Amino acid sequence: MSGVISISLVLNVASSGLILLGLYIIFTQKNLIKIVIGLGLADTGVNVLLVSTGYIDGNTAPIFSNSALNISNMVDPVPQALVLTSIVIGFGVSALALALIIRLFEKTGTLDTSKIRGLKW
Amino acid sequence: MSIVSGLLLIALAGVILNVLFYKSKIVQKYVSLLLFAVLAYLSFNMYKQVGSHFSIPFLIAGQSIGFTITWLNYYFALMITGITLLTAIFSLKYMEGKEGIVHYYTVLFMKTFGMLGVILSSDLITFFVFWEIMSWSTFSLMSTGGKEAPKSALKYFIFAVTASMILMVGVVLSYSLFGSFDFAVIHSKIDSLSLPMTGFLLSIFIVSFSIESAVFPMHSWLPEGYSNTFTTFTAYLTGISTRIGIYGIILFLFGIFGIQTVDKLVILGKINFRYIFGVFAALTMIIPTFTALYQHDAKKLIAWHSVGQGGYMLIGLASANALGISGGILHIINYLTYQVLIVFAIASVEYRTGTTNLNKLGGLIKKMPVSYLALLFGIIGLAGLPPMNGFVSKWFIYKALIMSGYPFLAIAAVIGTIGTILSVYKLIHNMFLGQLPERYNDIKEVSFSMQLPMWILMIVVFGLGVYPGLAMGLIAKIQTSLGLAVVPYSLHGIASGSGQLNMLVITALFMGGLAVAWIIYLLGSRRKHVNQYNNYAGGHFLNKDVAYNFNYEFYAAIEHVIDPYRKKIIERTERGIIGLVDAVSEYVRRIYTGMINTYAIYILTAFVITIIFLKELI
Amino acid sequence: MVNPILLIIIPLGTAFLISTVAGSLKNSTKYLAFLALLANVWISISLLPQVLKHPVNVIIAGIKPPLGINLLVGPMGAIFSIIISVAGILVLLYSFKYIEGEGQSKYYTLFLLLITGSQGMILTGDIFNLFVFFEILAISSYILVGYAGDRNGFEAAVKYLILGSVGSVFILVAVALIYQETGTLNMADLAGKFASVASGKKMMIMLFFITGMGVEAAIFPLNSWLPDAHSSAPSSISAVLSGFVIEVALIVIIKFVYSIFAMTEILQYLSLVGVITLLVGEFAAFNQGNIKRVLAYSSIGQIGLILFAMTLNSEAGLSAGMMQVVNHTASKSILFLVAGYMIKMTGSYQFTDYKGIAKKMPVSSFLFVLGVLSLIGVPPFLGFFSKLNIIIAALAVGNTFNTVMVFLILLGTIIESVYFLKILQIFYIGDPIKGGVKEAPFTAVFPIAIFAVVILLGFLVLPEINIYAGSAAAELFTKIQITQVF
Repeated sequence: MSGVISISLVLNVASSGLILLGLYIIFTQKNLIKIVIGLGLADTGVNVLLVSTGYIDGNTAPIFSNSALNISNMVDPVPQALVLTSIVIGFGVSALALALIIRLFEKTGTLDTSKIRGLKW
Repeated sequence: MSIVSGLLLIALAGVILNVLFYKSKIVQKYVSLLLFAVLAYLSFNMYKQVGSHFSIPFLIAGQSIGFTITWLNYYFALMITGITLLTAIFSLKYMEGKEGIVHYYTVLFMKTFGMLGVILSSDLITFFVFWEIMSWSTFSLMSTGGKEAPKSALKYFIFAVTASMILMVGVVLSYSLFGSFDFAVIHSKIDSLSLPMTGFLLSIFIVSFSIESAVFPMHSWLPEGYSNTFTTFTAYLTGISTRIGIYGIILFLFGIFGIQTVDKLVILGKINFRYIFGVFAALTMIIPTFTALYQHDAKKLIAWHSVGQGGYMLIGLASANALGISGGILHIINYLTYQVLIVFAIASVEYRTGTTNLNKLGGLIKKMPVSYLALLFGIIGLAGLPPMNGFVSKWFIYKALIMSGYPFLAIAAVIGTIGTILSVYKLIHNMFLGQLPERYNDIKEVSFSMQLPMWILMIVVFGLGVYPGLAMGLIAKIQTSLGLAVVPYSLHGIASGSGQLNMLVITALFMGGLAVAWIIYLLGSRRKHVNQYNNYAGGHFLNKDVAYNFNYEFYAAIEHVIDPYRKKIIERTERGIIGLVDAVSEYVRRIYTGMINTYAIYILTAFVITIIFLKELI
Repeated sequence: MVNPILLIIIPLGTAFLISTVAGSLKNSTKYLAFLALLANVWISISLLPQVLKHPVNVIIAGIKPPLGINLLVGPMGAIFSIIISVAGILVLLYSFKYIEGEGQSKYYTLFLLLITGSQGMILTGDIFNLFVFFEILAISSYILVGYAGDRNGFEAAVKYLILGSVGSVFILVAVALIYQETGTLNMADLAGKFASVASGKKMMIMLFFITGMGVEAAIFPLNSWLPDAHSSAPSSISAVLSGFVIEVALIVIIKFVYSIFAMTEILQYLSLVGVITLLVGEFAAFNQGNIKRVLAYSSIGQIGLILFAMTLNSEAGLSAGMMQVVNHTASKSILFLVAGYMIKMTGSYQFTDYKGIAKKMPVSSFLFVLGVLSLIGVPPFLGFFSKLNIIIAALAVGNTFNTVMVFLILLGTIIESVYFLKILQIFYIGDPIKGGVKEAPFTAVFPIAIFAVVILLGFLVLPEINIYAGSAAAELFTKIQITQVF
């Protein structure tokens, strides 16, 4: 495909942007919920990166819907399988994080990380 | 079965029995005593197997390890087991009813096990393993027996663990240089080593042993550590434990490196490795001895001497001629006997009066005559006066220093002796002479089981004084086995040559002098026996209310001279190091701030720093 | 021929079984967990002689690698399996009485999942599966850290979770980049193909991987979650986390650096990081009053030592590092498990409150002493020989860098022994504390005693240990495993 902006480039920019944005949130935000959102963003970014590794410009989905389709004209299906797993894991971790944060909020009454420093040194 | 394995197994059996039957008094007292007696008997018979080797049935780093019997370790084994037996006899009554008695006997066996292992080992690994067992058991028992004990034991341990870590570097370095742990193999390959490496390796070993034998300026752990624990354990520690470090020095200086190799380590003209070692020995001799002068606690005082006397042994070794080395080695057993004798006397007094504070005691001579006699014999030995054994070895050492051209070191030795005499006088006076405080009117002499070890040691202290040849025979064998020249000794001293010495003559003269003095005393005018409170001093009559304790703060002047330096330099350095570790620890802990955001930033930082570090690889 | 896949399937299956039957069996589910781990121990031990002859390659679901998923078990994997199963079963036994209250089956489910994750990380031959097992391990340990349900537990769990997830982002980026560059996720296949990747890309991939995995492996400064998590978790979990979880992550890093990435250029940097980790851990522990935090910091120190040993770029170093792993697993488990009951009995985390506790808890205190001695490296305990081997390996390289590092390690050891001795003195000296302090129950003392036997009598089987550790080291160092598979 011709054009200045290829899809792989978009995917790469999007993935690194999402990861950096997510990490930035984790580094700077003091609200635990926001940190979990940051984690989610970073996770999504990595998932996009994973998908992009298998992407080949102009090829079709790896489904034999038509017998005329050639394997060499398909995108790599492995990363897509990986992404599915990764999404599930990310979902699980986020849910667990939120559950733990709720319990922590019950005990401390705050979501501010600078106030949740009972354990240090 | 070889005697070596017998010795070690019996010591280990003692540990196990005492742990298993921790409730049984019979095991603690009599079975332990029996085992110690067997140990002494076995080690006495070790001379039959000198030269034999016993391998431990497994390999370490592909090396076979084990034990061997030489004349040098026979000498040390005799001293270790002998003094353990005497301590055990003395402890029968002394430790009775005290808390921690199981621990005491267990550790005594463990410590004996460790020390025997160290001296019998024929390779660095065995040496190191038993060395560690030794210092850990010392730490464990040193932590008990008094209020201050845990703190001073910790201090001891910091020194000891530093020493063993340095030793470990030496062990591993030798292995990587020579490909073997075995002493004999290392000895045979030592000449192939470059001189700087030889110096480095030797320094590692010597520094490590110097810490254990409390050489100045690494001695500050000893007086505190030794004086805060059970007094019988003090005897044991001060008598033999410290001297294991000297064993290490003898072994490495003469046995492994060899004096020819050591003498190649010249820094500038006459200043060589040995000389520097001698200077440190001289400092060890003088400063701690004078520190002992102004101690108010009998145990502390004698513990400081334990440091100072080590200096004599080391300076004798540093002179490296036949007379000096034999003097140094002879001084170990002489020191052992009189030092333990003194500590036993102190322990007897403590047992009866409950204190070792010199300013609170006094006038016990009539109440505890045997202990008095023991202390008297001991301090004559310690001060190095005839006819006791301390004189002989010190004589050897002075003579050797002058003969090998170290006049300054010889003067230092004499200065040290003056300090010793001054301080032991204070010791005996404040405990046994002067006025008896009223609270001690009912004091009795200690029981026979505590007297017996003192009698034995008195005989040895006097016997070795008159017949130094008894020990010299063994020392000559040690010197021959280390490839050193031998002193032409006789039963009463040195047979011929420039160092000629006949202790029988000296003793006879001494006794003759005593007899003359006695006759003059008898011939003199009539004497009136007065009550001890019917007395005067400085123009004042003394009575029960005014205590007559004339050397209370007697050496304050010396205290004013030495203490500031001790406090300023040594204590400040030690505090500085501890403070530094503390401060670093506080700062390092603050890395863990508790903020999740900071923690997350650490991850990115680590990532970025790694990229910066490795950018030439990318 | 036993199939190593059982090592993963049995705990995983039992974990699900427990959660389904928890309603009817209530707290008896722990016996199910025990049986599962017993099977694990037996399988892992019978696996060892097999893999010593030839690495085992198990193909899953009939699809051959590099397309399919496989397990790849060499001596290193088998040894780690044994460590995980044995330590796991002993800690599980300890938990029988230690974990109290209703809903214990949750604990055992999660515990088995933790074992599953650890075994999987060690045994798998596929990078993405490694990630999945990593997440299984991580998620179950996040929950277990907060299992006690107190404030500190939740705080530590949340911190651990967030940092662990940041780490997993890094790992996943590494996986994605690996796939992008080589088109394979199979470790053995990758080991062949990775050399052709451009060196800058190689380094980036490795950095992402090490950073991500390093969070779990507690390499400084990625280890900031560790003191909190290890000190706030129930002591049984602290023992497991310190005992093998961080080591599992570390050994994965080592495996990747040596045999998959084959990037030895980075080793010296890593060994420097190891020594820094060690010093940070020991110094941070020095002034610590909370006994579990002391132990947690000491774990950081020990992991630094293991990292140093394993990055010496020599077989001897790797083998010494393996020995140190065994020693650390056993001795740190002892310390955490004993501390668990001391905390329970006295109700205090401050060790200054344990004055004279040895008179009330003589056996536990004695076992604690043994653990300390081996951790510090006092002969004749196992820890001495591993430390000795590490130093021999370091000095055998013979450069100034390593000599300096050895001195720093020994400095760390001195500091370590001082702070541990302060604790021991408090245990043994002074009047016994008041209150109902009793000896820990048999189910606690027995497993701890087994650990103690390992470190105490380890020297009797030293040649065997050397052989096994040596073959594990050879596997990593000479990549036998990789070449023999296809």
